[in-house]
Amino acid sequence: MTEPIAPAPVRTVNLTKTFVAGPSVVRAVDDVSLEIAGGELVLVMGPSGSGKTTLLSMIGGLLRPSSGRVEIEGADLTALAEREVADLRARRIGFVFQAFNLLANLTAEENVLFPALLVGTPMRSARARAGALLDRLGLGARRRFLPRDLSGGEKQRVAVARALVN
Amino acid sequence: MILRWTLRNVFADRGSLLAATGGIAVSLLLVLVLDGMFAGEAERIVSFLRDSGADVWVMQPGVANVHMASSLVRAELAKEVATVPGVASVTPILYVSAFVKAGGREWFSYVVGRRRDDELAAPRRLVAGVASALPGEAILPDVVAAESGVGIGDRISFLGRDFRVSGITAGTYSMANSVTFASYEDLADLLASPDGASYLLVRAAAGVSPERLAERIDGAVKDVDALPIAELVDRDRRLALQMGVDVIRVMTWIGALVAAVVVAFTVYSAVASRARELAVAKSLGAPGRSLLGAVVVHALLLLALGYAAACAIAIALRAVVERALPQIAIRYTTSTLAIVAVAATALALCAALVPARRVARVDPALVFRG
Repeated sequence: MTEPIAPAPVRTVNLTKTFVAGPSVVRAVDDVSLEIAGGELVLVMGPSGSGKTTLLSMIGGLLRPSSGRVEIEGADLTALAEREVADLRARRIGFVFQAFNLLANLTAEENVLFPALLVGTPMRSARARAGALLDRLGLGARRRFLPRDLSGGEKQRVAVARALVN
Repeated sequence: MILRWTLRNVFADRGSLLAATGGIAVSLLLVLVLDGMFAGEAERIVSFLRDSGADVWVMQPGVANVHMASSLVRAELAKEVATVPGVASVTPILYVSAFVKAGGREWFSYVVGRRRDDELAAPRRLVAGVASALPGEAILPDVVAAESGVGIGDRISFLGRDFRVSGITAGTYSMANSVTFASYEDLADLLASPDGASYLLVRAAAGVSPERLAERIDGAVKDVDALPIAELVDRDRRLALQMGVDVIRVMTWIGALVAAVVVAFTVYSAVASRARELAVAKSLGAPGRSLLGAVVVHALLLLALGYAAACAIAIALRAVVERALPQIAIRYTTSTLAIVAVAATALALCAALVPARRVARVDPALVFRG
């Protein structure tokens, strides 16, 4: 008896995205097929305007492709309803943005709690998980600080904790 | 968590909150005050009729108003009207529109001649002096007296005759007219009408409706028309409003238009300034419905704060204005308060939905941008 093969965490098939810019059509992502295995670290490189953000947006479920498909752990994002994509994004995808994008008026702990509470995690366990992550990243003493009171590195670590909380 | 986040966003930046709610408050205040002036003026215009104490006014056939009207009925008809079943009392008054000269100024006024002991058509609120004029005396509205600088014992004139001011009343002045009281004898002499009356003021017996009594008088007495007080008040108010106070109504509509633009723009700006954070929340998995709820709560909070501030300022402003400028009356009606609240809410929601729709179709570059 053979073990079933687990689907790749991230897979794209002939992924294409075009934008209409005035009279011309811009092909931002053109027929990209890739597979990222569990534990694999992939770096996407390219010059400005080469479609890196567009590719990540489609993989992250923020942008619908013009053609092709994105699969996250076997689930075809292009076949899901908007609400289902949002739910999958909250549960299975974590972003650490270049500018961190912490919610300015929430404390470090609340920023980490935010995605956990979105998926219905009870407050007590969400708080425990967030606290553990912040402690592990050396931010235990800063959990009640607002982003404006954190250094750049601390903000980045809060963003990492937020990406991992679910 | 989204609600907590929204509340924090609304209250975190006090400067922005003050600017947004202040803008909304001032624009709604403009509508409330202008409409309040319109309502106040509409009430003052008919205050003499409404407070006359009469249930039915009887007048010359074809006359259906007091404002800008002239009526003459034979005095003996009072006895005939008194015999109609349901009539408790009949009080004749004389009435003429005239310019009252006081303190070097002229005021358009209803001059009402009434007998000293009559109960009806008397001034309801006396500020100084007496409530009934003797021959040679006149009773002025407080606004006219104050603006003209005259008081008890000073001389005024109307219809070419001098009178001594013997009383000053409140609630008898509006921008469209004022009410000056004189003795019946003086006005009969001035109008050369010793045996006539302008109007007969009828009080109904207990249990008789003014409408029913007016019909009975119309049917029983020839050469007169009878109007129940409510109808006369309504007719006079509409006529007076057509003749000038509509300007305030037009100003109110212009004010409403300005308010609509300010409210919509303020709410739009406040919500649009959150577009980036809403996009971040969406990227974290917040469903569109929750984000829409956050936008709606944000818009409604701003509006509620602005509306509450507008109402509080409006109430304070009324006290200040009526003290400093007694010729202006401001009345806030519950219907206006409700209409303004509902219209502003609808407008704020529409204005908030524009940026909310933009968030629903979030531009991923917005959250990835450094």
